[in-house]
Amino acid sequence: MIRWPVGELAPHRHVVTVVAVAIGSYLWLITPGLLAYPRINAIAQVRLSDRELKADLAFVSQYSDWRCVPSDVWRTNASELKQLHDVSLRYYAANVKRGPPNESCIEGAAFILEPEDFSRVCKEAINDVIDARSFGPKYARGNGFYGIWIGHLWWLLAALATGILTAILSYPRYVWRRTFLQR
Amino acid sequence: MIKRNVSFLAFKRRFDRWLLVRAPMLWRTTLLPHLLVLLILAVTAATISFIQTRTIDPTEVYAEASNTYSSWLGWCAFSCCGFVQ
Repeated sequence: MIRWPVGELAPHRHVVTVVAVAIGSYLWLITPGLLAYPRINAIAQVRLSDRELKADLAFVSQYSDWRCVPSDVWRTNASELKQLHDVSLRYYAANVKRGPPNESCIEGAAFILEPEDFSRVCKEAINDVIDARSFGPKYARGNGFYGIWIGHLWWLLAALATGILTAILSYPRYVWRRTFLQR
Repeated sequence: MIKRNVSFLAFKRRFDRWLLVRAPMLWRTTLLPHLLVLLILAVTAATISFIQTRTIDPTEVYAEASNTYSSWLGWCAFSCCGFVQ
């Protein structure tokens, strides 16, 4: 086997490798987030105003998330029952009804609403629309879609780290090939 | 037709040479073309699963939001597997 002297690779060739791999890695890393954008946009464009969303959120949060509903709500408050019917059809796509008495409530005679996950599902749906509408560079950390935003610095750092690692790890192979496989 | 083929081959040769000269280490491994094919397949599959062509109803928001997040997490895990590979 003949060994040939190996010339050092020019520094800018290393830079090209790092930059090329970093760009490819960045695109690879942000692709899932980028593809999620149209779905988040569709959620944001639900035909409900911000005022309606806030009013509905307040409504589904009352009576300890409808787990302790006073008995007079079922008897006398027709407008509230109608609103409950509307909200349940709007976000839950099913009717709700009075459940068994809830002994743990401090209000006294109170009933639970069935199905029990009504309030949770409605609240999450409303918060998802609010989060989707505030999704972007200036949104809060508590936003439900926080990790999906492609502008996070960590994607860039991960891509750069991959580029540098690739350059370091591929160099011995490059030298080996130039040493032993050169014609 | 033949002329077009010749010019395409000439372009391909020039492009290969241009790439080889500028980033020689990129093409020192046979794994890279396979990874590129994998990348193209992954992006195609992801596009199909993420596609959204209509306005959604408020009743669908809950399911749509959790699907979006879980799909995103799944594809992130897939991307990481691609990296490790």
